[in-house]
Amino acid sequence: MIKKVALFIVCIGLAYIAGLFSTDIKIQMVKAYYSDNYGDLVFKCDYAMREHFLAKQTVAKHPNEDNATKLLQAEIALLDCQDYDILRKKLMSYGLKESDLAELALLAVENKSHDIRKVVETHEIRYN
Amino acid sequence: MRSDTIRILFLAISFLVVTNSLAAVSSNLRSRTLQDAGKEFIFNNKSAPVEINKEKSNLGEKFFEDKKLSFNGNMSCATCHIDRFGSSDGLRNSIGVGGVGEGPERVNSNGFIVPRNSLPLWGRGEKDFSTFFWDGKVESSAEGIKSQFGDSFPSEDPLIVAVHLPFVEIREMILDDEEIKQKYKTETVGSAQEIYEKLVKRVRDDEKYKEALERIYNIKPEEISFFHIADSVAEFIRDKFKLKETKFEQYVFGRTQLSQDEIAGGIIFFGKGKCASCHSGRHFSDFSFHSIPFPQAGFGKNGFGVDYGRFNVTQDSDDIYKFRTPPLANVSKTAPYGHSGSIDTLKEAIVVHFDPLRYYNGHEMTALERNELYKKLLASSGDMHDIAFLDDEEVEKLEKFLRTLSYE
Repeated sequence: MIKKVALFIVCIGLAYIAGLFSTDIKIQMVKAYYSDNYGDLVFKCDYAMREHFLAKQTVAKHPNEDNATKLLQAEIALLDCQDYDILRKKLMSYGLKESDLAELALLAVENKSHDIRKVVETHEIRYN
Repeated sequence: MRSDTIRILFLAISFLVVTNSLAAVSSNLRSRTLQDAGKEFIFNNKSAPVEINKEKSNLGEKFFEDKKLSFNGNMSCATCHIDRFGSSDGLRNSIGVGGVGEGPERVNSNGFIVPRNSLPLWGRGEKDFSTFFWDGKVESSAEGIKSQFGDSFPSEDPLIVAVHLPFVEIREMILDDEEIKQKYKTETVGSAQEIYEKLVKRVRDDEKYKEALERIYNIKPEEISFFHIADSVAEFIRDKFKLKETKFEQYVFGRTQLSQDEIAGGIIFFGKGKCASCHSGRHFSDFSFHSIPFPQAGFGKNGFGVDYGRFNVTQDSDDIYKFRTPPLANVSKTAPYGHSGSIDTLKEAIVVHFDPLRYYNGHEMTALERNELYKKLLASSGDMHDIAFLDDEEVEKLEKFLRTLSYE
């Protein structure tokens, strides 16, 4: 009888402690589950945006049908950013904050970087 | 307690509805984008349907399969254009005269190697199919027909002109024996004409063929020429290999569904991958010439592992290493890929466009081979400048999309 009561009290205590940390555990689990996918979309959206910018500049400098077609293709490719936006909103609805998303993005930069230079590029201050 | 539970359930259901709606909106957007892109890049110009003369086509099929039309060899058109290989022959370089059997069996026989990959025949008879062979040695434009026949081209129809050529190609359908070396290896229109006349005599001597040609073309026996033979073969090609509705076409016009991966692959094809820059139009080819550094398999058209492609036709230095954009109808059936068939799978063919060095091993290449590679990379720099990097998952999705371009 005493053992059963003691066990019950320990379980309640553990549940209480788990409850205290439950939000943090949930956030960590969501981050772990979506980290690869989010990182992948960060890279793809970044790539799509760069290609789109290049295509716009190319059309501006050399306006012709071929370059106009390539701009259209680059616009289609921006759908990767649509996926990125949707996942961001989904993760925020799960309780992730901007700082959590920024952490996931940095992990993506690290994964795609061949060396420290890409990390520097991401962080260095530039004067326009 | 109950109201709390109800509140929690309501929030959970709302959340599920919202996130799934976002996903559905994205899915509908992608679907619409792909359908619009299909109409913009591919199905924007409905070509007039080709009318087929069935009698001609049936006769042409007999010629297509008849080895009698190989001057001194044992070949027919059907030797290198085989149904089970998607109307190609399943080999890297084709094996011409002297070869025995089909497909891989032919490789082990003693036939002459033809230094290019056998092209499939899908859509060749359509009115808008203007440029034939890997190097465009037969092409039709506003200025007329350009081919090895010069001003003596046998027809205004480029398919008929193209059909004329394999019958007089040495090592393809003609054995390079002493008679050929002595009399016909001048590669002039005149020597080709002599070979055509001998082939026509064989056909005229066959009562079945003579009677059929007289009836179909309403001509006398002495009027039978190689044009009639080529014309009927062309009619057969037009008939059997005409373009049909693919799964992708059905999808664009709302008659079927594609899987999520196929849609994603299509978005890559028309978007990030920029495949439609060159693979556009009903045939998924711009019929223009580009340089993508596919590895060279075999001796090459110019020898020692070298193939200069379009330059061999135009002698224009800007055309070096360029080949005609291959059409993509039934592309999943026509492996191996590339002008010399050096690439085995569709997935690898996709990768070569943006990461050709993946299939080159510099350490196993000779210095000459590496030198050739540098030149090919330089020649392709203009074309490759626009091609995007794709990860493995994107390549797989793109491959799935390309498989929707097939039909029976």
